[in-house]
Amino acid sequence: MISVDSLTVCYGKLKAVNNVSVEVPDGEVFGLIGPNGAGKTTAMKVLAGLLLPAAGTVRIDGYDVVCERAAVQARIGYMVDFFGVYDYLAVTEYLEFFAGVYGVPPGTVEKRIAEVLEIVKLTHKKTAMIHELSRGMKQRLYFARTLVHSPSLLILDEPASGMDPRGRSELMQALREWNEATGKTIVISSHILDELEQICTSVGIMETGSMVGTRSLRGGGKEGEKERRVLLAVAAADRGRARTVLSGLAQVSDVGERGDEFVLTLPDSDSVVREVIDALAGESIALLLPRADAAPLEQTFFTMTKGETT
Amino acid sequence: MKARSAFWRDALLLKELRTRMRSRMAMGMVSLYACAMSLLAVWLYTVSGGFSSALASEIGVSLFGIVCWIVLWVIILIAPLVAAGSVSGERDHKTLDSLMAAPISTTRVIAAKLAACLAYFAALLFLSVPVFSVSFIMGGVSPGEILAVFLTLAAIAVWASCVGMYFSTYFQRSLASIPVASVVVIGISLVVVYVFEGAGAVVIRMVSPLAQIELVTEGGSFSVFGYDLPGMVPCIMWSLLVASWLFEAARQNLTFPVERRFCALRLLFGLAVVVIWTATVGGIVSDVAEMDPAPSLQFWLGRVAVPILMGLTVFLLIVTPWVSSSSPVTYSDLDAEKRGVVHRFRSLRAWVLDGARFMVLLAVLMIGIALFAMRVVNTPWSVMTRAAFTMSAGIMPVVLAMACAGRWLSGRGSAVRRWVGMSITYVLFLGSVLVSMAVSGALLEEASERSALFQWGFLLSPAIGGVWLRMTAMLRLVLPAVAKAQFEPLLVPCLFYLAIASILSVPAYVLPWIHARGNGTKRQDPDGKA
Repeated sequence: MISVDSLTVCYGKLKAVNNVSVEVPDGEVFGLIGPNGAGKTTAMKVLAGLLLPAAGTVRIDGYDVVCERAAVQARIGYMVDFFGVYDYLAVTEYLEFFAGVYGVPPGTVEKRIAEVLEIVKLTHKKTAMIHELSRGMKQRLYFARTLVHSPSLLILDEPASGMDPRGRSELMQALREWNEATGKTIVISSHILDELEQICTSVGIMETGSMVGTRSLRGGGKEGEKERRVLLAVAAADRGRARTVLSGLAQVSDVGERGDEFVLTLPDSDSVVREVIDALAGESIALLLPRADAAPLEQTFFTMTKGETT
Repeated sequence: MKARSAFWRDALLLKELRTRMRSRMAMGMVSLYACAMSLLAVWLYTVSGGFSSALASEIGVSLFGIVCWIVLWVIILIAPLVAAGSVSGERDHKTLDSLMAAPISTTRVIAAKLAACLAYFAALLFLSVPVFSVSFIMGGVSPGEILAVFLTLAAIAVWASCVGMYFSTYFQRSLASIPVASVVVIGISLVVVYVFEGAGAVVIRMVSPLAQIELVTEGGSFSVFGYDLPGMVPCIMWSLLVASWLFEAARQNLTFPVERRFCALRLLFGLAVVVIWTATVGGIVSDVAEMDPAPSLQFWLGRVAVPILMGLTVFLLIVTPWVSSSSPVTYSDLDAEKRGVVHRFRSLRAWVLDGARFMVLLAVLMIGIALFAMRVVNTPWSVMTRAAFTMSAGIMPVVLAMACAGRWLSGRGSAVRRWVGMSITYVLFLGSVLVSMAVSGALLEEASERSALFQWGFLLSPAIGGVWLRMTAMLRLVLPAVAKAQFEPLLVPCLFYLAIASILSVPAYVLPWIHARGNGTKRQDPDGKA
């Protein structure tokens, strides 16, 4: 779906994005995280065809974002972080305008607008002028705009910033449902990591313009494909043997260490956890504290970034 | 597909019209203007003593003039306010990214915004009709005159809107774009008419809306190719030409916002070249029209040479600022090897489109020359034209050679070598300018004293053109992003210019030889001196 190869973007002498390469398959919900000034928004603007890269290529559905910009832009719905709307238009006029410029067939515009207003729960405001809406409603309307032409890729730059907790939750729910219903791809950035963790299937972590790492997360796929992360604490004397045993288990896809604990990535199934515990018990290794990893993404973020800015 | 295309185009225009006409400022200004015009109509009727007055027709003419000036100043004052906020206002309200993320071209965005601005001015002009009709009813003013004024005002509105649109794309905020556009529009309107005087400045004065309205309301005419055209024709032509340059520049600014300063410099130099060429050629044409015909080979060839010069001016007038406003940033500086076939196709297409553009302009140029040659009779061979040919033929190849050498030297090696190469070429260039000026100056000394201003203008114009070219090459070295670009949009017009200059140089050197062999007598200069 998205293929980024050696992307570099410069503002004068400053390299806002530096030699970034990443692949995002179809249907993925890809989270882009990083500190302020990491280059997330710049990278997203290149994906949306708003910025020219200084070097590298970006392809979406096989189309080059520079050479075939119109074809790319017709396929994406882009939500900017600091957005604005046209205050002197009515809600339906606003959506009709974007349906028009994105080439939605005139006969289906009305139906499509009704659908997206239903998704963002603004049907009751369809005849209202935009300047009469609250900020949260404007944000939902703006999100409806990104959906109005049924894009195959959503690029959302901090879509829930400024929303109240209920609004954020509803937006994330709507995104999850849209992804599950359509199987289409989402690239989303946010500083609220636990929300990203709920919907993302993978994340990329950026800092000072570079992609410092990518990793797969649980959720988003079919039931059997979900993963969970479990923390295991064992006695210091048994750590070496425990590492050997855990590394030898086929069900454990990743064995990491954080302080005195092992961080295991497993299929999201209680029986698999039981098998791991049994395997350790079979080697007479006593578990001190098995528990689920509460915030793996946040831990990953702090582990992989140093808090530097460009 | 066609229906869909038409639909979204309408959507864009519809949105612009809705947002433009529904804003409080727009509504307020239209209401205020309508009230002012109504009060003015009532007042004019009252002070003029009614339609039955014995002096009705004279009063009608005076009123017509007054109303024209009022409407003109309303356009000059309001156009920057309306147009200069159209793109920067989108930035202010953070809606521009959403708009540009849609699959629409920058041309259509600018065109739709311009159309919305013009629709607003159409409303203002429409509101002026009752006031115009007062003077029409009182007599002394024909419907044709009112139509001419309306068309001229409409062209001025297009020009002023394009100035506003250009600055709207240049600056990031309306806080900057609106005052700058206002100063430029009002400044050009006032300054040009007071600075440029004389026969050679007639065309330049047409840039100012004040001069345009003065010419049109006084029923003046304009002689072009021997035909007396109504005064509104050159006025409208100038306004629309300048508007088209600014439209293109605004489009480039929106497409390549990072390069907007570079584009502005090119546009400025291009305009300087055109202004000087226009002034000097205007002066020469005025001069040769006063000369006595001389039945000789030189006379007949001179009849062709000066029109060619005139055609070259037309060419520069149309092409230079347009090309000079184009951004040099293309896909080629985006890692050409990885772009492969698509990149090459794009580059090739750009070249083909540029070539086609110049071929069309060349055809227009040739038609202009043919028309002019058919009409002009009093065009003898003169020292002045020879000097001009020397300049054109002499300096431009040198400038181009230096530019090529600079590119070659600067394109390889270390930064120090690039700067050394650039310095050497720049010194050589200045030297060539000085030599050419000296040679041409020596020739010009033989010419008539009465057109010294035009001679110096002629002398300097290619030099400034050369500086413009050199500056462009220098900027390519200074700006890393520009230096990477492989496609040079200036190359095509430069080669064209070189070809024209070479052709022009032939009669400049061959004719004196023919003259000397033919009759063995001294050449007759423009003042009839031996």
